[in-house]
Amino acid sequence: MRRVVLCIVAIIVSALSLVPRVVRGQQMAGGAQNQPGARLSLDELKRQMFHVSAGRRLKPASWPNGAKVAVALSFDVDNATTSLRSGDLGSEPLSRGEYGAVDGLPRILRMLARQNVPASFYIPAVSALLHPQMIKDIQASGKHEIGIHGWIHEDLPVLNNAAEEQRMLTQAIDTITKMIGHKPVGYRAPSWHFSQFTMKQIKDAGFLYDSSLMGSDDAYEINMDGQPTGVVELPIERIVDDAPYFGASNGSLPSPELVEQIFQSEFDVAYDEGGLYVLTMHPHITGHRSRVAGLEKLVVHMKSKPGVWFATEDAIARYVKDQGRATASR
Amino acid sequence: MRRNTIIVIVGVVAASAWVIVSRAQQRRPQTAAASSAAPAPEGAAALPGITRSLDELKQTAARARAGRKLTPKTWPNGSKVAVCLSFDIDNESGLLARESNPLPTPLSEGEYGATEGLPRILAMLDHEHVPASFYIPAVSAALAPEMVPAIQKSGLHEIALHGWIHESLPTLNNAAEEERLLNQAIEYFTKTTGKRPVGNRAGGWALSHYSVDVIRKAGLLYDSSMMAMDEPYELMSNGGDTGIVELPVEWIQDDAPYFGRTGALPSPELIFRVYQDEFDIAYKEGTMLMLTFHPHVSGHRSRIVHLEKLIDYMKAKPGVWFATAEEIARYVKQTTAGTH
Repeated sequence: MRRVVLCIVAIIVSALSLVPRVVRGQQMAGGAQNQPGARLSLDELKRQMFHVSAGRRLKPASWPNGAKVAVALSFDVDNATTSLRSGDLGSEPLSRGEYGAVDGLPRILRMLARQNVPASFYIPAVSALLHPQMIKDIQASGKHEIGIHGWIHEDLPVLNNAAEEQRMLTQAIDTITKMIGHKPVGYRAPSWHFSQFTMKQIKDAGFLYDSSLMGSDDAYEINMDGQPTGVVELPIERIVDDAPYFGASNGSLPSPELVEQIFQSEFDVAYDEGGLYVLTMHPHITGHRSRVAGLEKLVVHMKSKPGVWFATEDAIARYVKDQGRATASR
Repeated sequence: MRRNTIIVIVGVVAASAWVIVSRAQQRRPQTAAASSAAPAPEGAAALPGITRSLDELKQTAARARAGRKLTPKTWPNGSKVAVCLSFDIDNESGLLARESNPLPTPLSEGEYGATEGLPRILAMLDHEHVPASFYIPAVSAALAPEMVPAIQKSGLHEIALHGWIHESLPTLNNAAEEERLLNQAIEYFTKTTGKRPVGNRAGGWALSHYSVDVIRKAGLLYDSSMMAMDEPYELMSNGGDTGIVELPVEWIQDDAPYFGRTGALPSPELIFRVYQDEFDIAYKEGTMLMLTFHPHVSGHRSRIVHLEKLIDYMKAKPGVWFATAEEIARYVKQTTAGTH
């Protein structure tokens, strides 16, 4: 009898261990476990909050040539990399991404040439390797910047692996360096998502600036664990991004006219405040006909005001860093 | 012996059935978007209310209910309408409460509320010379301690409670913990502002079953988390008056549902038209308008412009009383005392 019971207990125990780990949300459902922060000390919360945070504000007294505002047009050339990364190989998502290389980017480059303004392009290495002509086209005018945007648009917090993250970052830097002929100075995390390891890795890689955080409208020096890193942040925002509005099937406001209105009033206030304006777009999203038209109208509106400095993020980061140094030594 | 064996066998069968069922249930969410949601009960279990008697349902609904209306015959100086601009300075608190290891980018999104959102809002309120009420989780205030003195500077604004760390009270579902966190927040603000706060707004506007008692015990003047009316009312609990003034809120008059990450309508122009319509009817009906904003949401450049335009629109009408929630609560309590 005892053996029978023991045997049965063993069966139950092993059956239970076969149950896949309950998904996190379920495991934590109910009570304070669901809100771990409610039980943490303030010191603990500060450690979490200030692992990566806004340090010294880098707002220059004036922009080059007395300009009132600095404008960075930035394009994340993701194309199909997010689909390839996730193994989402449907013809619809792959071809929708491919459009970025085929029509989106060329149309954007023609518009930028017509308006004679520079831009920054953040390109996952795989995206560049799949359509190498893009790099040549971007470099042709000599005005634009190319920055790092991961190896294959990997989601770093989901990866959650310092060694893998480092391997892909190094691989991406090596690939892009070889393709563009110099080491890129700017970093933008795929989906703007830092993992807990990202800040240290991009600091160690010697990047001049990052453009993935939202702590301010002005440029700032990133602090890591309360210490200045020397890395400049040129902050981004979903409000001034095309994807949340136009996203493939779940865009919240697919009217280019209303979206450009939002982008424009963001600019108008930045202009009044003498600030920095970073707009993020994607060739496979904004490169479409109805949207490039809206973007060009916006550029024309900005150009109609006196004292607008259109620049690459590289140029802006160098400028605010130099100005910041001057202020600090004063 | 034989009976024991049968019991054990039944146990084994039940255990393996449970294992099979629970594995099947766990497989389901992998395809569903909300993989963190617990499997929903089915049938009558999903609708507990259908098996309750009317008396039981009345009891269930009576825990926190609208009592008498508290709109006075006239607002101060014969004003037609009371307008309260309220700002919930959540910043990073909700994220720090929910996540055991919150990530830098979403944290920076909340941090914006302190670095840019609030200063821009305060400058605009100064410029328009209108008061506002600020509901602040104590943790948000502690992480950016410059905020409280900045709000206090003009002497116009109110600072009130919004939890310790924007805790979700129904999720916490624990009276003692809820009381501990509220008292901790009251203590924090009493110390940093020099005045004990009198108003409460629950994190996510979500009161738990214990909240009314906890708020009453803390001796607060008013709450601003409920939605039963467009005008001030007294909160009732289980048929009795609580003495707590409710200054009701509404999702329609909030910025988060429109602009939030899954925002439904991110066009500031269209959203502020909704607020304006809400105001126009409040003005006609002579009651109150309570607007709720968040510095990390509405403090952005393209949105503050429209908020200022709305204030200008309201100021252009005669008889609009801009006030803090505290001023409104004191006024309605005092003018309607003993009228029933």
